[in-house]
Amino acid sequence: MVLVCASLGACGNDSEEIPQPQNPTLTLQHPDYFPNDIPMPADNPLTEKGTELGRMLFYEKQLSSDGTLSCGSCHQQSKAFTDGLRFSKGVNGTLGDKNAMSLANLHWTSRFFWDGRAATLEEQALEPISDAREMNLAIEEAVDRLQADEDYPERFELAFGTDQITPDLIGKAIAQFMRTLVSGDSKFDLWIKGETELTPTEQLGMELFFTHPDASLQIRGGNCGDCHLGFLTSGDRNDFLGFHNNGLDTDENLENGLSSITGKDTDKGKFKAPTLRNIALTAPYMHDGRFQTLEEVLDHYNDHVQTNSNLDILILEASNEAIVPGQPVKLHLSEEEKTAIVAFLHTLTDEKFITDQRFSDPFN
Amino acid sequence: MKNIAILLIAILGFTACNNNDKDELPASMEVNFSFAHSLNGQALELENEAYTLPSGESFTPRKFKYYISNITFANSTNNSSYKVEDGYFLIDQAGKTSFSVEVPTAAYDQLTFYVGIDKSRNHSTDQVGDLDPNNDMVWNWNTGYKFLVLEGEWEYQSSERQGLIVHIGNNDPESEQNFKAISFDLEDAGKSLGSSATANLSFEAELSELFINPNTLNIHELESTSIMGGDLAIQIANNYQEGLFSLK
Repeated sequence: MVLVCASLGACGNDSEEIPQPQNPTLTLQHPDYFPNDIPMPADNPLTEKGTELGRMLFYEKQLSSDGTLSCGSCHQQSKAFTDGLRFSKGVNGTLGDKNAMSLANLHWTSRFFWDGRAATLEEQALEPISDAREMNLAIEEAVDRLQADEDYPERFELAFGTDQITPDLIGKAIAQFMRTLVSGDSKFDLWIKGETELTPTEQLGMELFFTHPDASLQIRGGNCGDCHLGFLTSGDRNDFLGFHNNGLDTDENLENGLSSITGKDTDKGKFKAPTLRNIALTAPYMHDGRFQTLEEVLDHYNDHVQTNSNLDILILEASNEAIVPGQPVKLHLSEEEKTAIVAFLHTLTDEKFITDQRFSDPFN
Repeated sequence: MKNIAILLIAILGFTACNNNDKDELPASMEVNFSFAHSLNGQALELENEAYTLPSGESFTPRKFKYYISNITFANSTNNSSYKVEDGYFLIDQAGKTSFSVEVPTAAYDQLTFYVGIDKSRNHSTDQVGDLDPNNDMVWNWNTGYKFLVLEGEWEYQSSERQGLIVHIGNNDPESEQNFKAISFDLEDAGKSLGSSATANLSFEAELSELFINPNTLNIHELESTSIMGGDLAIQIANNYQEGLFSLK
């Protein structure tokens, strides 16, 4: 019978990587209503040792030029991996110009950073190390420091089969750890599984969240789910469809956003629609952290959307009252409806996620 | 035992690796569906080019996707048919535009598929086929799935941007009004199945057909160009049933 198996194997597709016994391959644990069809990168499967190493590197302050900061400094678990600041402080107190993004369910998103400049999580993981406004350490220097460490070369050996550390392997390890940051245990998740009831206010908020309004049909909606899709409440994974201009600024003040990557003027002012999982913990809001509270965010979408030449058509065409061409776009939600949407957003908070020991600083 | 093993090698080795035998067809055929999209005769590209709609507007599409489901192959001579169970396929201009189904080998000269999702699946969150509720096709928790989505910007005799948002699903949860069957005569198209182990069916969807035949929609004259239900959705659904798709 062994022969039969071998014969069948010869007709199979690709040869599976043989897991090393001391470094088992891991299956990403997640709710079964998250998409199941997104493969791990072929060149960076999730492994026990890779994830462990990635967690250490994520919290490793040697990866900043003056040894004061790690990834975890601006991505703090207690705040769903944000830092509560409008702009994060890099080494020597240098300010960045974007709000630190929350980290959760990254396996189900594509293109990283607010402007989408990183195509993979592996690529993303390296940039803050060398960015002068963040950790400010040349990547070659990062490699040298880890190579000279008494512990890390062996950990790379276990994780990747070589003790010769490279920038590529650093990115892979950190990316593996970040992929394990799955948030799927909020009140909303319990509701999806039928294990809890939402309050009437939360229920109303959820329905508004996921509904595009249509005044002519008396369908009321908050229009949030048009960009923050499905159970993940994150952006479209196809191409750059998850990037939107949400009317923060007029044409004169539009930041480049996605256009700095695509070179297209029509992409000016477009930024990544982030997941709203744990959004109540990740203030301030927007790519530039301009709004302090969720109420301010709702007020923006309801009353203060700025018309500009790239304003998303799903916002341009969304109102709970008849749209008058040429007039500023307003959603016309009531105070009660705005309150309900904010109540629903609070159901996305996952207390287990922010206290899970597996995601915490291993050096503490 | 050893002999049985050797025999199995021979059989399995043959069937698993050899699909080219013309004399003896395998028990099932692979039918490959592919969909190409055009607008006003030009191949569709998203967020790139402006096209002209039948009512004269300049239109830049940014999203076009729809569900194909309930595929049935039939033989009009002996009245036999085969329905692809749990076959729900999302065709997305920005993503996947083809899929394959396995069909028991037999002669078929008729094909029917539906645009949309039948009532039994429309309100379930089972991830059968492409029915992943995270893929931007769930409408909201009451109404089920969007069957067909077209979004883009249009302008007409001015440079004022307006959005065209076509989200067609069932108008109310109880009906299957906009869930539409589309039938093709495979024999007429020279695509009858049953004579080879694989078959390729290439369809073209001409987006102009969403706005003409039998119902004419003049986009710039509409009160609202967010079409997500109501009579306009029904009109567009009737249009996609009539002539949106052609078998090439």
